[in-house]
Amino acid sequence: MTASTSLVAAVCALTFVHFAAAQMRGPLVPLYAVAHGVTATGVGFIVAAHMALAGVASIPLGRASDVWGRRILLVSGMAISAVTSLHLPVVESGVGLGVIYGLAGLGVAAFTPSAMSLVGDAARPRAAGRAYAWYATAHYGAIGVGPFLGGLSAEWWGYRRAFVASAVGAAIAFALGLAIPVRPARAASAARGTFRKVRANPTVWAGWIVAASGLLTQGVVFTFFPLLGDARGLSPAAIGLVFLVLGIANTAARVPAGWLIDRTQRSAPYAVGGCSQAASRLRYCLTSPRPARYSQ
Amino acid sequence: MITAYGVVSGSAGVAIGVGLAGATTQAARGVVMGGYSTALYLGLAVGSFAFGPVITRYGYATGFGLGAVVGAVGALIAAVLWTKAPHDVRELLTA
Repeated sequence: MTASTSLVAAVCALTFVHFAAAQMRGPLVPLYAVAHGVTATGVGFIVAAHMALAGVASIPLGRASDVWGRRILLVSGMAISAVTSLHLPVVESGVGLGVIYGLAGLGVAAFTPSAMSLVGDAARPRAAGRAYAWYATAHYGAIGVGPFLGGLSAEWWGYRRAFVASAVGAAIAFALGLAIPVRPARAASAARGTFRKVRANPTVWAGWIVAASGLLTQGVVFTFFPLLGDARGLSPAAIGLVFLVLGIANTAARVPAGWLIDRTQRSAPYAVGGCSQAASRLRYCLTSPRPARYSQ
Repeated sequence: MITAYGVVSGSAGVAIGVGLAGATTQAARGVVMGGYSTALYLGLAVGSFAFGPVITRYGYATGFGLGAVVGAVGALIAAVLWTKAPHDVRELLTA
């Protein structure tokens, strides 16, 4: 195994362990909040705080990884995840949970751009497709496994100990991150001019725009397909099966897609074609009836 | 249909990551990937929160259809921008 392959493998392993631990909190935070008297609106605020901070902080923390190096941001992200998981059991109010879970979003924002950049930094020539495919497989695999582990932990040990289990998982990732050598990023002197170039780069904007619009369609599917299925008379198990098939297909496609990108040395056609095809398939989910719970 | 949706969306996710990594140098890759991460969270958030009122008022057909239109328009804009980079996957820049 070459040094670059080893580094990609290490980043994938860290990503899997960190996100599995962090995502354990996903189903637990709303349930824990409701159990302590937080309203549905309050739960929405708590989850929104997490997503908003993760989204807003990603660009400045990604830039910080260019200036200060990937390693410090990677390990800081994992440390933030561990500390915030450890603090969730000691707060019960909606505001308190919003603050702690919002700060947990900073951990995600510190980790993700650095990990994705590191994969790009380490990938061998003509192997970037497979490198990103393995990274994405680790990331999305963890997003699938984490909530399941969280739910299982809560059932066995209760919410508070499940949060502690999440903290232990993130702490393990943190320790692994400290043990793995990571090359420093570029010097800070070049960063200012390079940032200007990034903002003027149409290819970068193309990637950002297609990512945002593609994830918007996923947001619609993930949030409202269960309601649509319910309105069509699908059982919860059937709806779960649909999401299982979706998750397996999504994950299984990634490595072959990476191989194809490396073979053809093109990525834009797959990005544009994939997102436009996903959008067109969204139309086939359609039925016209209004959701039963909204129609009174 | 759901399998096809999973395959194309998973493939697109990898392609976007590779395209962005190849579009910049190592010195600025962090901020580019930060923007990618922001785009993912913003897209998910808008899809989840903004389409609830649309579906409530106009039904699933309009809500899902509008989501499809936004996704297709985003892909079209990206395609136009990407035409300026005919060989978009190149040896990743390290300068």
